[in-house]
Amino acid sequence: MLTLALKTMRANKIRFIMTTSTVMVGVAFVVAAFVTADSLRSTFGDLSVDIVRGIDYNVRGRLPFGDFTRTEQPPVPEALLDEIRNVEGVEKADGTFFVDNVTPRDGDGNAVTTFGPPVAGTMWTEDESLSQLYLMEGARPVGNTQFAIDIGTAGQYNFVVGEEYQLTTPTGPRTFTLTGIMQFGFPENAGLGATFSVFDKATAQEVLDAPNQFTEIVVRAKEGQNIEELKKRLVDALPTNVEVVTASEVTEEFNSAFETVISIFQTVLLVFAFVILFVSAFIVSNTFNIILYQRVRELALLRSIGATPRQVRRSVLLEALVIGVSAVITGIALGMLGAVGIRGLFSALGASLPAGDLPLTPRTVIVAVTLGVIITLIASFVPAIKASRTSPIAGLREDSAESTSNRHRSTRMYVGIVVAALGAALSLAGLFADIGTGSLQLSLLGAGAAAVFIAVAIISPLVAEPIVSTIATPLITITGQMARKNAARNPQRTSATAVALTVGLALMAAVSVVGDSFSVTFNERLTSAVKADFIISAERPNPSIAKQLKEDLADTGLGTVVTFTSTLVQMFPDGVPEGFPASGISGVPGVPDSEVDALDTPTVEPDVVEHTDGEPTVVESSISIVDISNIDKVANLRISEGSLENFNPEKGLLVYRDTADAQELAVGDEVPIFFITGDTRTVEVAAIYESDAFWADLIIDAQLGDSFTRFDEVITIKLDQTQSAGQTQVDEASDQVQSDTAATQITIEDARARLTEVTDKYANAVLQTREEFLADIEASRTTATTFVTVFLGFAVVLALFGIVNTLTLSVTERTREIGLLRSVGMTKRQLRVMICQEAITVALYGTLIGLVLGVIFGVAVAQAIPSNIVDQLSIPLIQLGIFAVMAATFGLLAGLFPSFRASRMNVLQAISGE
Amino acid sequence: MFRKTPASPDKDRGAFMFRKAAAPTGIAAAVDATKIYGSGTTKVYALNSIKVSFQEGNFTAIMGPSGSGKSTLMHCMAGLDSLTSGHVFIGGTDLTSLSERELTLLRRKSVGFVFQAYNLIPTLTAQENITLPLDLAGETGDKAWIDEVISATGLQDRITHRPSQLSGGQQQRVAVARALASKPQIIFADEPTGNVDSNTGADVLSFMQSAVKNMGQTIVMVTHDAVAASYADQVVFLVDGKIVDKLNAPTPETVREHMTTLGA
Repeated sequence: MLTLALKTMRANKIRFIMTTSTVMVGVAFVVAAFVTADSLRSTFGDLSVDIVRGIDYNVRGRLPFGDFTRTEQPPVPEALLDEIRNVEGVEKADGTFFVDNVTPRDGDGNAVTTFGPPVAGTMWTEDESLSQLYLMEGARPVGNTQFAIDIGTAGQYNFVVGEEYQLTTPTGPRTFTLTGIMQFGFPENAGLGATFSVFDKATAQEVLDAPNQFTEIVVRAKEGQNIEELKKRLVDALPTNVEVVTASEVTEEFNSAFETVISIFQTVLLVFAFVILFVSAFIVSNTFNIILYQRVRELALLRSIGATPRQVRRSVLLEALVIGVSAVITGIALGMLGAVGIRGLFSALGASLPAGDLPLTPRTVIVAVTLGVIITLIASFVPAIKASRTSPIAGLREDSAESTSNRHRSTRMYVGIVVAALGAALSLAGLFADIGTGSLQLSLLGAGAAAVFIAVAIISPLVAEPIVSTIATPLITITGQMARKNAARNPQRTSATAVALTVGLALMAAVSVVGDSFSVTFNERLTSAVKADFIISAERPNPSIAKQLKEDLADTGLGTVVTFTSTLVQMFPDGVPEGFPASGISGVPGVPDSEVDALDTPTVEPDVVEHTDGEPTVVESSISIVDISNIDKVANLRISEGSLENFNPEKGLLVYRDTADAQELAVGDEVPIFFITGDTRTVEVAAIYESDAFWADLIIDAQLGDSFTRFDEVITIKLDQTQSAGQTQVDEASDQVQSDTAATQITIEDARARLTEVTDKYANAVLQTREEFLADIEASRTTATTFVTVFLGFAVVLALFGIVNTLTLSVTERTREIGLLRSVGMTKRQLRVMICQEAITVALYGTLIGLVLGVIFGVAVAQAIPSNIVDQLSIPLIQLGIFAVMAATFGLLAGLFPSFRASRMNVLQAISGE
Repeated sequence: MFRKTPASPDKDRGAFMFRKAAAPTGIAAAVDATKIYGSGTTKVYALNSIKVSFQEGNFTAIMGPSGSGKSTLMHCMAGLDSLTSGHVFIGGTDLTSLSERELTLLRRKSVGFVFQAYNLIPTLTAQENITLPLDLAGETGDKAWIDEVISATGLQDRITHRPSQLSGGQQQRVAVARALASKPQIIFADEPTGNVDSNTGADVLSFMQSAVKNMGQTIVMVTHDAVAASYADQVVFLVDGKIVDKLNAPTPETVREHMTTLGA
């Protein structure tokens, strides 16, 4: 039986390759996902060991809540260094500095940027043996005009030792001379694309605006010290607003922070992999159905010469197994290539990863083998059962068409409806039910969608004939009409082929509906919310702008400058509970609390924590810090309760409508707030705003909050007087002609030129007009949707392999018919056109169902998304039209191979059915 | 109209000679038609220098034992298969000088086919099957003639049925009607009654006979059935790729007699 299975496959190489490659691509995605993630893990693992090489402890400022990656981490006073050095068992200790957002400009004036990693300023520890920085060229910087730069950046931007460069630091732009080139970690640059500008201690403290302070103190224990015991001694000796973290804990923190990112990345790739494997399953199943139908005579012969149903079934499953195993082997190889490609993509995007191994772990292989083989076997199971039921006399019957009797039809309909209902129920549960975690909701949604697709596959044969006939009606030529009839003649086969395409297109359509709805909602809100003429933001994802820039802009006298920044707070709408939070309060300087172990700090979950046992609520939230007296000039908050008149900048709080409702806050309520820096304030709700364009749910005035942040995030400017072309300014005074102010009027272009002079000194500050800013945000959303669409496109392309497969098999099956057509005068060209038209018809059928399903999914998801994110529904008809045209074009491509194969058939052999 | 500039001077000279010799004698002809399978010691002559011509308005049966080359002769004469050497003509056109595409167009226009089985496209109705060659050529054809052909099949009321809804005999009659629809110069039938019972076969054969007699068509039919052959005006006997005998105005008995002699 194995020989038979192998011989059958060898005789049908193309079919074998097509079927295998669909599963192969799915497996490749799985492998690429795991290998890339594992590679990142091992790289970050190495790196996290690197950053604590030669160090046993980090002493750093304690955050009462939030995680260690927050930039608000309070500095450690330099004075602590002596106290630490005096602790028994400490061999060495030294202070160090690490501040994100020190942006150098290269010789051509271009700002150094990264795809995400920090553009950091740091210092060389005075004790070389505690440093992770290695000098590669030149000398260490000394004094307040010198700096060193990391080797990666130096290479990429052509930094030359001895030249002068401009750096934008938290205290503003300054010029330094490059004295050396260094490397972080050894032997490789473990910086992962991060940029380091290195200063000596005094300069670092000065330019990073932290006199007599460090971000952390690194400590090495004397040999033979018990790490835990020394840690206790350190904790006892130090104030409670600093924490002592061991090297292994630092490593762990670092890894878990990266693990979050890596696992998101891995999950995204795995989701695509599952979509593709799901599509493959349809293709494999359909292919087996067709070949077994065609081999019915052969199977009947086997049965009549004594093969048991079990043996027939086994031979089919064996063939599936061979396909599965081949797919897994080639898929693993392709996946490894894919992982190399993804790494290339990363470095193309600027996040250069250190060249590490691409680890193919046993886990990856096991998952790949299991998925690849199991999917293939499951997909071939139904065909195998059908084959084993072949009666020994089946071969003698002239016409054993895959007819669907009426009884079958109604059974099919009921089963389909039940599965569809199940799928819809699961999807709706995933979308709307209030069940804990997001991943569970997503899984439910995924399972629901899968069930709906299966239901479509079940029901589709019942409706395929009329729909296909209608789709192909415009094909009025004789070949077109025959193509139409061919596509409709075997609804089951056409359906199964088309459903593979349906899956990909439905997902693409759903993504585009949700994306477009989001876009429309967001655009409308942003457009109505933003009143500023200019917006300045930082170039990198981490939005950090030196506070000096605000003053420089204000000095131009062009208009009102309003900065936006944010920090993290815990808010207690019902008042602070007694004794809560012990560690939070201990974070306030001057409150000794030596009983509390730093690492046992109870961390508050990031989401809203409901104290179900009647205890008061804690809300952890981002809080915007703005100059509220001027906010009206740059933004439209849409205050619905309270007002900004008589606003008390030291005490007032603005609350977003939904948050106010959820926490039952009303104007006049007093609320205690804990800042992540450890400071506490009691604020009073001054107003409630409706605008959804602000992601922060709370707003306080700069007078109250500015001291808790290091950087501004966004700077907005409203010109005092404008003669803006096209833009309608809401200005009550505009009716009156004021001749003296007319002289000071300035056009947007002039203002831009003058502002650019200022912002140009700040390497990472990007100046945009209101329109540019809105367009930019729109474009970045389009990029995200496009990325997802392209990945889903893989599933569509694979579905086309399915069309190639089905049509090739159908052509073989219709050999005699084709012979007859050719002999009565159909030209090769007509034959090719006919087959391509059939391919297009099948593709359009799958597309049509996919688009309809996708729009339904998309609308459901858009409805399920909270209305503060999406409250508009937009169906991008043009984009859906483009999808349909693309699918038809792909259908045509899929038809090419089978059509050429058919046209090359020998007419004589074809008629005689050989 | 399908003649192409010959590929080689040799061929040209040959074609010229033969055309002169063969063209006047009938609507279709084979001259020195030779078809060889294999080579060297395994060389088999399927057709061995066959010289035959079929007259317009005649119903000819080709008979012979299995492997005698009767089907090969028909396929070669219809332009479905190519000769090793020699020439075949339809309406004065030398098929051996035509390209694949020209052959297809010739078949569409000048040749009708009736096969033993699988004559009809299952997705098309009887009517659509009949007009298929015309539709493929993008022509409407002679409406009155098509109606005449359809009424001759006696299937007017089943004309919108699919082949699967017709009996075997009805299917073969539709196939003959299809062959007639484009008024071809010649119709080739390959065992048209091989797959139907004798009563039905008689139906189909009578239909073919009347097409020759009443409609002036030319039919060449390959068969091994003496009764079928007796419907023809003449019978040509083939053995080992050679024409060994001819018989005019055959009856089942005279055909059987000849066959017995040959088979020995």
